[in-house]
Amino acid sequence: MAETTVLGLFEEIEQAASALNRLRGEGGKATEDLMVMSSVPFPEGVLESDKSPIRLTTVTAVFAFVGIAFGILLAGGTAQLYLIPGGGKPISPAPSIGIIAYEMMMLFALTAAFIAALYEMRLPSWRSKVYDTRISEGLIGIAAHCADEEQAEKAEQLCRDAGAADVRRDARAFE
Amino acid sequence: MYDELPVPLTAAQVNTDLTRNITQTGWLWWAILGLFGSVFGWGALVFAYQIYNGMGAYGNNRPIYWALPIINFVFWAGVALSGTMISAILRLLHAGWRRSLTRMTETLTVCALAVAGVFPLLHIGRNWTFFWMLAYPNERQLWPNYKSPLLWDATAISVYLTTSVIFWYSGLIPDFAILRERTQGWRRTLYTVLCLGWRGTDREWRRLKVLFGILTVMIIPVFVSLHTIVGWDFGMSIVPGWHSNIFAPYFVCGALYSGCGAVLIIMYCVRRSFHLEQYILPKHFDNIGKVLFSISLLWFYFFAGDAWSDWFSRDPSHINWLYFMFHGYKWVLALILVFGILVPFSMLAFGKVRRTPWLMLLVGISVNIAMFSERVTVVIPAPSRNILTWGNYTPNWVGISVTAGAIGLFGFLYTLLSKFIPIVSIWEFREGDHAEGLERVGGGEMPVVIREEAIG
Amino acid sequence: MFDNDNILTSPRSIALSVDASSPLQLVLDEPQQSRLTKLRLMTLICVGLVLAAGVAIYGYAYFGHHRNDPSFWHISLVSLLFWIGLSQGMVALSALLRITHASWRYPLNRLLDIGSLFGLWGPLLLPVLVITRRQIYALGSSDYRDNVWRLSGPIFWDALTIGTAFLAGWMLLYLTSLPDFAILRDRAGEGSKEKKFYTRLAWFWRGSEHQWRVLRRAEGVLVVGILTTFVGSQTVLGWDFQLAAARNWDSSIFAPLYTLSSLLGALALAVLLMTIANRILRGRGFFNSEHYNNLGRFMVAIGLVWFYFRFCDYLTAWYGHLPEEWLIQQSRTSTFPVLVLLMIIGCFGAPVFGNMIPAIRKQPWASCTISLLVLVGLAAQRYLDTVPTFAPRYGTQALLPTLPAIVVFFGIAAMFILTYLLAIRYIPIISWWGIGKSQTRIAQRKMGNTIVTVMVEDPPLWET
Repeated sequence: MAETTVLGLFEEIEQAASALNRLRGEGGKATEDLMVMSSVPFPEGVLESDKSPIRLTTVTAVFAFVGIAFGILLAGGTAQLYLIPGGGKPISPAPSIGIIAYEMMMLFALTAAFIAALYEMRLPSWRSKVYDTRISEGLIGIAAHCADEEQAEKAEQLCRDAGAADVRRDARAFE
Repeated sequence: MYDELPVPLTAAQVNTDLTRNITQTGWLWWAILGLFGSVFGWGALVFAYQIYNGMGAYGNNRPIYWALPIINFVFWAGVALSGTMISAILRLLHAGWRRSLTRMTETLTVCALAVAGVFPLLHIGRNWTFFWMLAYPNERQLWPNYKSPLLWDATAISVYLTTSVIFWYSGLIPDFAILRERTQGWRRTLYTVLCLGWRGTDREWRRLKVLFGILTVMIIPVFVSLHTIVGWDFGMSIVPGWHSNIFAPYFVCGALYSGCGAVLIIMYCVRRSFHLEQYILPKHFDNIGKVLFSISLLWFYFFAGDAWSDWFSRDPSHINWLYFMFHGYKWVLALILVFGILVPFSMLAFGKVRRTPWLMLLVGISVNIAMFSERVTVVIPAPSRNILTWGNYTPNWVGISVTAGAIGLFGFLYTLLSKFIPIVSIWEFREGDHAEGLERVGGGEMPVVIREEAIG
Repeated sequence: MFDNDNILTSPRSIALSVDASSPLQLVLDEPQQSRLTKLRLMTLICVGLVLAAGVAIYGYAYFGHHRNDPSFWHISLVSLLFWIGLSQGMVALSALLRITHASWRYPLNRLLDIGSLFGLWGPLLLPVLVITRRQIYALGSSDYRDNVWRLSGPIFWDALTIGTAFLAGWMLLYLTSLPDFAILRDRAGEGSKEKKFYTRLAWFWRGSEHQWRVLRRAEGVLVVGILTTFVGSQTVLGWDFQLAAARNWDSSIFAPLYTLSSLLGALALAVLLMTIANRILRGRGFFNSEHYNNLGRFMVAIGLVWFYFRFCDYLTAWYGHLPEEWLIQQSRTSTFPVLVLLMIIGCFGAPVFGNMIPAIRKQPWASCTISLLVLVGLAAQRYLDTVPTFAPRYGTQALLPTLPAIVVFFGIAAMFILTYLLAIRYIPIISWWGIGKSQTRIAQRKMGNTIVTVMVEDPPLWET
């Protein structure tokens, strides 16, 4: 028996939490082999299966600076290449550069945050993966990645004991 | 006070209700789309007429270079402002009632901004050379002048459009995943692509939350900068009446004012047309009404403060534009005073009125009439000179047609989009089920909420 | 969904808790000897400074030979406006927290509300300082002479709006203190002075349902009133200058800018007061990192908006390059570079970039440093906005702050501190019933694998 995934579907948060804890404890599953799926988010820590660090804030900050640099070059730098004298003002005045740099900072930072978030979510990914359509109808899915049949059976049992509405095997990719 | 607790709905029920606008299409939808489409089509035809005859077709003249197209631009940019503002600020304040409103207001922003973006292009005269404004190396040796507030404006609009589309789309991904399961045929393919393979794993939700934290905080300075720069289009000149350092915040407030009015109109229309009475409750109208009321006071503060200091100082050059406002354009001023001050102040003060959706629709329309008029008094009296008696500018059929065309375009876009996206955010609405509840205390039941973790 | 046990804590357990009662004990118990000495010393210093300021105003300037000294009179005037602005800003901040239902507001409200008591004696100086600024005629606005005393002139509005704003603050302070006075009345020893005093103050407060309802209603009305009168009074204070039609003073942005500045200063003072209160109450934990965190973030927001208004003011002058406008802006930066730097650091740099980092804004000492910088920056702003306008006529040397002017500034600051020193002798600095209320409405519940905080949703203040 090759690798498989056991997917338990739960109606209540408390059942799902107990299944998650038991899979971790009695089932001996590592964090990366467990996955909570839900069509709504829960408050921090209610059902947690992912502990990977989130670096979005850092990315945003870095790209904010990139944006500032780009804005300065765009408004100040190119003005030195294509001279437009006028208005009793210098060719590259600080206030205009500041305004363009500010706009570019926002553009770069927010776009980078979005792209980085997708990257960290491992999206887009249109490949077929472990899922159940009932999750989008409000059930909470707890997926356990199992190496062999014995593990899978144990995981199924644990999910049923915790009160799962349904437990099934899914041979598709886990991540 | 606690009369309108949300009726507990099952997840499946919510999914069905909130995707109904996509899965079922009646003749009325086609009729509305056709109506807006034909108004827009008429506007487009008139635009073709303008290209053929030149900018003079608008009746713009020497002192009044800017008239209806720029008035429309300022107006629609203003309408665009509040959609994202309502959504972002309510998220920031953890207001539980935001959940039903975020999507429709964000969609409002996207559509209105697209309409606003059309007008500068329409107003440049030789429309076919619009790409000369873009910054790219070329054989003409031309480069945009980054010292000009108009270019700041173009930059700000592009940035705001990009970021608000990102904001809007980020929230849509989980809903597209639900739609993927609920549709068939080409729609299913479409939503499968659009949802990017979203499964709702803990990994994905955690990132989405952080992303929203960042977007929510950072999009607020973006929309403020947008209308600030629209204000600077005027404020940077030395024309008395425009040359005012208060223009930027004044414009932002005006934009929030008209935008909140537009939010009320949209709320009413969406609620009626898609039968979302269980989702958009009188309490939402009540709360938006309160927001509108406080913004109206703020707007009035700046509106009065601007005219007031010019009037009190008795500086002849500053009195000039006030003269035009009080004489030639006094009817426009009267529209502002009646629809922007008298009507909202007298209606919004009463809780009963705020809780009656159709009355709030009237308030929304009234505010927008006033704010359009306010744009007229901002754009036209200041450069006016004593040449004619009525004022220097009278709108003609071309300008009015294009103005109507803008409304047509907005309605067309919004109606069309409402067929492809859940107009109330499904996952946010259902998130509320976990976060709110009732608790028995003493003799009654009290609503309790989970305190959300701070953003950022 | 949250069906564990009842969310409300009984008032009895709050009454018995040492934490909630400690502010009351502060009023009822005699202070320790060492603290008493400190308090007396501080009071003496403050009284000394106030007297010195009086000497400076009357002896040096009014009856002395400096009646035509624009620097002295304007620094004195803006010092007073500065402190009036701050004390009203504090009340407005308290009202703002109430109206937005900030769940962390309870221990802070009273501390901020006490600020309104400065209005009992501070503004009395205003007429003296306003009448004397005759140099304003030198700016060429002959109209001002006629306008200044008219009922439609800014001076009359000043009295009206400042008075109303303070009045609303006093009423809020008194009404929300009533339940506290009542418990002091009940706790004071039989036949003692305190018993008599608080019996008078608390009237017949019994905590009946009717009384609570009325109190809540009044709170709602007053909060809205305070916010509107606050904006009104700060605006009119801005108009004092704006309507003079003197260059740079006629800026229409002064009114909103001063409103904001007062709020920014109030936030800074809130941080300082919170830290002092924490020390006085010996770590009872009323104010924790959450308060510093929230106030810090609030400061970031207000600091950004402050910069926005300042930048609008600057940019309009820079872009237009109208000689008379641009000269003022330029002379300001070239003549007073240090003050400009202080202003930008204090009002924008420190509160925004300092508080942007959570680790810094949650640290009490770092937060206090930022707050002090904010106060310095705001004082510099008041100076820069008003005094350089005289530069073309008087020359820069005559406009620099002199010793008497500085004494007046600190004298008025001492009045402010003295207000607090006197008030906390009789009013509990943290509202006992507020703490009780906050504790009854929050509970911990288990949800999945974590504990979440559950709160009762407050109905809006104005709907009871």
